[in-house]
Amino acid sequence: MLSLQRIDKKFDSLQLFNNFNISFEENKISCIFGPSGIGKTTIVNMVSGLVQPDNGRILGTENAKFSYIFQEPRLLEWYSVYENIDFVLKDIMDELSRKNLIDKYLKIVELADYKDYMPKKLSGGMAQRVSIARAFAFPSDILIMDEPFKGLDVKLKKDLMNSFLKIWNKDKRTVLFITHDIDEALELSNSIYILNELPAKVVKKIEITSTDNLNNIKDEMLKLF
Amino acid sequence: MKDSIIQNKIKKTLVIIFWIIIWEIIALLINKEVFLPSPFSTLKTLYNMLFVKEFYISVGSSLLRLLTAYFLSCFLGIAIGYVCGISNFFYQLINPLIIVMRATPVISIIILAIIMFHSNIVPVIVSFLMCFPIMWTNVVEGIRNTDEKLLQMCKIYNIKKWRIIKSVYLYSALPYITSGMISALGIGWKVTAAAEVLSFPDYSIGTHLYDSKIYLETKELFAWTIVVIILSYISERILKKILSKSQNY
Repeated sequence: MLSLQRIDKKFDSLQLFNNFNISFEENKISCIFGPSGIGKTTIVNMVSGLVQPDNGRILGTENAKFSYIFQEPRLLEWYSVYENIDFVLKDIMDELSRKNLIDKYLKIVELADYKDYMPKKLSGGMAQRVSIARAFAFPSDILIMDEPFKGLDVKLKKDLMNSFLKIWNKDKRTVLFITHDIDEALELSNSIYILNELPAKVVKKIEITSTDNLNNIKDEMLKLF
Repeated sequence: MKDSIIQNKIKKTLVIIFWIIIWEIIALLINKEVFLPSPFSTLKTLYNMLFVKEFYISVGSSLLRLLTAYFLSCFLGIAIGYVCGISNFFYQLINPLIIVMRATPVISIIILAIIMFHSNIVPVIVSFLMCFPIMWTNVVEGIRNTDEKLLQMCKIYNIKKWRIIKSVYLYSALPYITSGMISALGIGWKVTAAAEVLSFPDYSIGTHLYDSKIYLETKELFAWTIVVIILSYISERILKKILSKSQNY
């Protein structure tokens, strides 16, 4: 179990979290859903150690390796697509394993032909796919995805979501996933945490099993906003 | 494309001719070579200088002084700037020195250097003291402007510190380093010439500038000035070409 306990966090004068608690199951895809500015990104940043809470503790992340699909691609402009993924793998595996892994994931995000391209030559969507390939290729224990499919066209998004599920079914890593898109949340997640109000609160947690009627859940979620 | 390049070159040449004509007209109006020599007599003096061996020795000596000071400033500016960009402690330690170096008038540095050092190396020291702060400041700024988001990405993927220094900070600072190198070169030429005028080393462009002033040889003064301008222009062009190749992404 990965849990945040009694978290307080203030940004300037805005009290984002006050005695906030949330627990995510390991080896499951957990979706954090809620309006903008509620602190969804702050939650995952606290989990990954990028942001420190003012008070409270975070359990279950000791020695965990992370990979992160940020809202923006965050690529090194001076390295090619291939080198950008290689950059994060270099410290942990040999050259041949890196090559196989990078080729595999570039194929999945449909960028195999672009591996020698520099990021400046890529469209926004293509750059984001490199960032997705980088995060998938990195052998992490916890994968964080902050609106990973934003700005991608419908077909590609659908394909990537399918690929993601295929990859996930193989390694079943713990995934924390932020989205604004109800359909995306329903399709990918095992559980959905709905956040609202300020300071933020989990107003509802929905477990999704394959037998659920997704339309009913969707209506239920829409009613909350 | 090619046509527009040729057209551009023609335009540039016409502009230069226009200003030479203005110079000629003013020289004609003044009609005193001591105050303002005409373009023709300046070019003639320059042409005659090309056949004297001492011209090449002087230009070579000045060039050597400039390059010594320049490479030293670039090397130390990048090395020390790098450390100060990453470590706040070293920044606080070095910054006061840089502020003093930048605020001190060139003339004070020159006079002090003349008192303390042999005239042949005064221009090197003065030029170094003027170029080093430019390089240092640019490198520090480049390192400090490294995108925080990229550093977060490195933290997430647990990238080793030395690889962040090599692959993220260095490349982020590269545009700042190159612009520092270009401005330091221009300033280096001006300062080297000025320091040579005042310290008159055995062979140098500055010594000739000084002699022309003493003997009221304004034509020579103009000719030597043109030499400095041309050398400065050529070296900047070469530098820009080298830098643009190294930054090809």
